Amino acid sequence: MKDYGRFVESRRKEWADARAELDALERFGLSGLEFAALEGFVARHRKLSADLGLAQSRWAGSEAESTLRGLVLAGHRLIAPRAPSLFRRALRFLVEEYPAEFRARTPSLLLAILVFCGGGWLGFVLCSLNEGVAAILVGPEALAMLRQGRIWTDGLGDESSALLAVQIFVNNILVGLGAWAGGVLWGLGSVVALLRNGALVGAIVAVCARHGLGDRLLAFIPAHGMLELFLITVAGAAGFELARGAFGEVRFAEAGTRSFRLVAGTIPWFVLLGIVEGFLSPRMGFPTEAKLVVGMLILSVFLLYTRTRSK
Amino acid sequence: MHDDPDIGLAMDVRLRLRVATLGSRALAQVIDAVLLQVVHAFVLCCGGAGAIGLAGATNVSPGWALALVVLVTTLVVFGWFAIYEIGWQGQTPGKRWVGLRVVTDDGRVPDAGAIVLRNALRLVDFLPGGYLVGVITMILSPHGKRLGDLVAGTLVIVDEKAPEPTRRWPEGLPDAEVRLLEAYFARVATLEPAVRETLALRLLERLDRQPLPGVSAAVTLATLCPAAE
Repeated sequence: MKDYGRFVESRRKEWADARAELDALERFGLSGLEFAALEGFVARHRKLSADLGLAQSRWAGSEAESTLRGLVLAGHRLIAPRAPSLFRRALRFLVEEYPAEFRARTPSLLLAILVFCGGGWLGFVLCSLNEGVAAILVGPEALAMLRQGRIWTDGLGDESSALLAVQIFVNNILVGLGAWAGGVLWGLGSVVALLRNGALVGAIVAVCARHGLGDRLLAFIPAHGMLELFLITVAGAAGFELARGAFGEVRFAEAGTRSFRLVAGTIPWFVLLGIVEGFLSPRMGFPTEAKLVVGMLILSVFLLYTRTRSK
Repeated sequence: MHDDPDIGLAMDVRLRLRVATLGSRALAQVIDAVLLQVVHAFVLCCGGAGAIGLAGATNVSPGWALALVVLVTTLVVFGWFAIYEIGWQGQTPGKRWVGLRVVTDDGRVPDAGAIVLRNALRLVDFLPGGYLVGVITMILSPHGKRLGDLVAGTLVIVDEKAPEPTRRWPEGLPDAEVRLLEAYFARVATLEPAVRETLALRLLERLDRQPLPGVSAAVTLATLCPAAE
């Protein structure tokens, strides 16, 4: 058979043109093409695919086959439904889709709240019985400070509120993402994150109460703390949803997307709470009652938001 | 070795994707990590100096400027992979350098959601350090996927280019001979001169030709099958 040389020669120009066209389209995408141009591109892609089929069956491993592989792969990548821009998608997700997503995950959320509260209760009881346990949870330095009647919130007012806010929300978002991502290990990571965060809160409450720092703790936490702790449980619930994929209950990709949507919706709220925690919570001159009202208001707005229904 | 997955194309033609090896992915990761460190240090230095300068020259509190620096560096560090993979259709500088690309399980460009998802799961893939969880899942998974890829439905493949046909083939040459010549020209630059000449002579014999007067067999072959322009 004497077809290969003729095949390559007859297609040489076609392949060079296709390469140039694909290079340009890789940069600019298909969206700007006129319909006729798009139709032409798709027809050429089909021709290249057919030639690839030919090369695969007749001249496997040849130079022509690898040329066609490269061209067809590049074309195949381009011919795909394009998702709307990330920003527009994120906005639509937050405004229209997240509340329903949140409501649909209520059983996992209840379980996460239970685990978190279990951790809190454990931390509180253990630290009330033996304060030394708190050193493991809050760290020896923080414990020593609390024993001296000082609380970590004392110095926060001196720092820049903006810097503090950014540091806090970055940290909280990472804690939330960690609680979600840990779910991939059959839910264990999420359970540990929930128990640990719950125990930390329990330990702080126990030690502050014992050393007469309860009022100062109460003056710091309420504006941001209620929703912040709730959002940690939402992230843990997202981890439990992810674990369903690890257990094979649902497809991994499906569990991944669904659970990520649940935790992703907490990010803007963590940013808001970081700003509140940086600018409002450390202000000791601001009445505790007013902070409590702010905290309740933020929590209520979030809960109302999760009840909204898109048209 | 990983199994390379097939994807369906038009007209029932199947195409086997080439899954990236662990080594090539590690190399791409190292390149990205080094670049990331450089950019991170640059943003920190410039941002820090800018913050101090701004605070000195205006009434803006240095805290605000520092907050911005922290925000930008955090976005750079945590967004590096996702931002590049969204903007460069599945590639980061490291992946482009090594010749790899992230695609969906059916070989297409992943959407931004899938990319953000696969990169957010680096938090677990990295555990307990050095991407150990990721490496283990890559070894165990049939298509060399780390956890992020499994969850997002993505693959890292070799980004195959379309090489231009390098030679013009004389008319009427049988397919088997053209394939031999193709293999010869693909390796010719790496052959020792003596080996090259022997091979060229044997190929000419197969083609029933003689070396051109006054030139070597290798040059005769190159004249017979000239390089494509």
